[in-house]
Amino acid sequence: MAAAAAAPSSAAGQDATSAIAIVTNPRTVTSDLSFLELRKIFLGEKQFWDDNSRIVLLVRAPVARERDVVLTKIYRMGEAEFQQYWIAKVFRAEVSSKPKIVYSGDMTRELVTALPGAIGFLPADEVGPGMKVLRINGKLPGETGYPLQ
Amino acid sequence: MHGPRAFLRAALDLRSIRGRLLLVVGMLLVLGALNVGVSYWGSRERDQAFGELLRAIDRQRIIGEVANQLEDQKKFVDLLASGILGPESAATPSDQELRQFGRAVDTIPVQLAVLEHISEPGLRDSVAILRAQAEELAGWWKTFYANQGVDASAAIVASVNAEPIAQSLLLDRLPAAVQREKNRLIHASGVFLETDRTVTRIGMLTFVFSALFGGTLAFIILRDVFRSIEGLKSGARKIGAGEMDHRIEPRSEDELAEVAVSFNQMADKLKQRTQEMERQRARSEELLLNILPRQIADELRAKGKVEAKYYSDVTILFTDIVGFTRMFDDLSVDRMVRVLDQLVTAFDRVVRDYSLEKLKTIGDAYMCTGGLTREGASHPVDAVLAGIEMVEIVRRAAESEGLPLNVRVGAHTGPVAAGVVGIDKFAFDVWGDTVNIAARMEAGSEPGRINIAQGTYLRVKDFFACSPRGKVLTKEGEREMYFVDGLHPELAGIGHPPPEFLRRYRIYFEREPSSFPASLSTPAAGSPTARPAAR
Repeated sequence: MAAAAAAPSSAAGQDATSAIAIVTNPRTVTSDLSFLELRKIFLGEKQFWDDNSRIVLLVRAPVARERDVVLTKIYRMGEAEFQQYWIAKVFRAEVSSKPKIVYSGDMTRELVTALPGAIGFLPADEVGPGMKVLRINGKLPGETGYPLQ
Repeated sequence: MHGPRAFLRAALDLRSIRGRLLLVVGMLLVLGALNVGVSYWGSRERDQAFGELLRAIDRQRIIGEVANQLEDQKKFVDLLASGILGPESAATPSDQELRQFGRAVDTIPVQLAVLEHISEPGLRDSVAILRAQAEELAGWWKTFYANQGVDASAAIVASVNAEPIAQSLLLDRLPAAVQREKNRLIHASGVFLETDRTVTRIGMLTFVFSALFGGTLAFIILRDVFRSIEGLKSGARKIGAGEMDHRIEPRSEDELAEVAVSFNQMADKLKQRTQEMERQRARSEELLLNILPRQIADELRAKGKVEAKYYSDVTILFTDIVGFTRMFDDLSVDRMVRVLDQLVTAFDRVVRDYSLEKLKTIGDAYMCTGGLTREGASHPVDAVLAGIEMVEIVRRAAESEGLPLNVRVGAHTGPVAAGVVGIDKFAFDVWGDTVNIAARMEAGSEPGRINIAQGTYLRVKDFFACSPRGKVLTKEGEREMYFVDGLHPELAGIGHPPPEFLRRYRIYFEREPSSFPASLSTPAAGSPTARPAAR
């Protein structure tokens, strides 16, 4: 985990700067997620960590490259579908915790550091101290097979 | 006895009608008050239950509104925080928007404060917790909204801090409160319906009980009164119908029993008076019959007057006491009157025995008739028989009194007019030639003899031996006169009356003789010799 909290290492044959890192509050008990679990969290289908703490989902506001990657890779939706999806979830009261909009990498870092249970995403090269980078399918950003390149 | 004290005593005495009626009225008032009381109690119970129902409805409305508002505000905050509304999500709210949002979120704890106020004391603590959480939530939301577009991180932190509170309220406490209020509403509805049913049932039972009890009491009391009244009515009707011996049996000890006793006393007096009146009426009747023949008296009673009538066949008999007037010089008035009364009384008895009618006495003269009131043709014979009795009576009186008394008797049979004259001391009288001739016969008779005119002679000659006396001049002309000498020889015999006389009398008149003079009877051997009838 300590390794996961550190800056992403450059994996062989991979450009770590182009990867999107999934970051969480360092007190979060989880360090490794499958892509499927990650998708559930981002879709609001999983709202609590394994220690039953609430998941606070931070999503970068448009327009940002990492947002586009997340929408494409995780949500597999366009911008309009994403908006429609969450409006529907909110009005159907299917989620207790909706994604919080953040407007910069700094804001992401600040909130991930400050909010217990927070989870967000940043370009791998913008990951700072005080946050944990999660392994996705056992891979860190920059490693081969990391799904959010 | 009257007055408040007597009234109160009677009112407290349940044996009296007044007391019983007052008891009925009192019981009806008590029952009425009971019904009013039950109605008042029922209305109060119903109002309480209805009030509780309204409060439950109010509480549920408030908690429902709070839940809806909370949910709406949470969606609003979530949408703003998630930025899914687009670029405007990040816009800084105006002051007006901030105030509106503040009022909206502050409404929730205010409503919960109202709910806390109208909740039962035991539930106020849980509502107070709700209110405290709502206030905390409102604070975070206002912080969130105030930082929108200003300090996005602070806004998100506020929204994240608000989330568990909102979740706790929306998913846990409010649903529990809503369910609790729903249950309480159901309970309140049930209580109201049950209270309504109970109150209605008790009200109806009270009314039915009151009606039955009051009706039964009134029936029992009034039944006795009506029985007593019916007894009085029946008794009055019977006594009114002439059953003077009927008496009313008092059925109770009330006023009607007193009325019954008074009524019986009145009936006793009425009976006495009636008997007295009956005696007086009989006396009056007797007196009237003493004055008038029965038929005439009956007609006088019925019509108030007697119309003069023509009788075609009447025997008039006159008697006159010979020498009576001359005795005034020698005898006291008392003795004279006593002797005269003795004779007239004896004559009255004779007249009655022979079914004749006494008309009047004038001094020592006595006048009677036959055939006026009794049908049949025997009156001339009856009159002669009576005359024979009268002669014998005077003879015996003369002997017993030692006075020189004798009597002249005259009779005639013919038509007369009869009627009542006058209104005071009225008298029944007869008029006509027959009367005058009969009077003339008496005047032309001799002491101890019976002198009859031809009208009578022709009717009695088969019964009596008569001797012609020649003619006498009357106002009506000359008339034949006959002395009655005695019983016809063919009819003489032993017996009273002699069998031949009796047989002829029956044949002629188809009846029994009313009486027969002892002086005409021939005694059997050994018996004292009868005196001759008139000689």
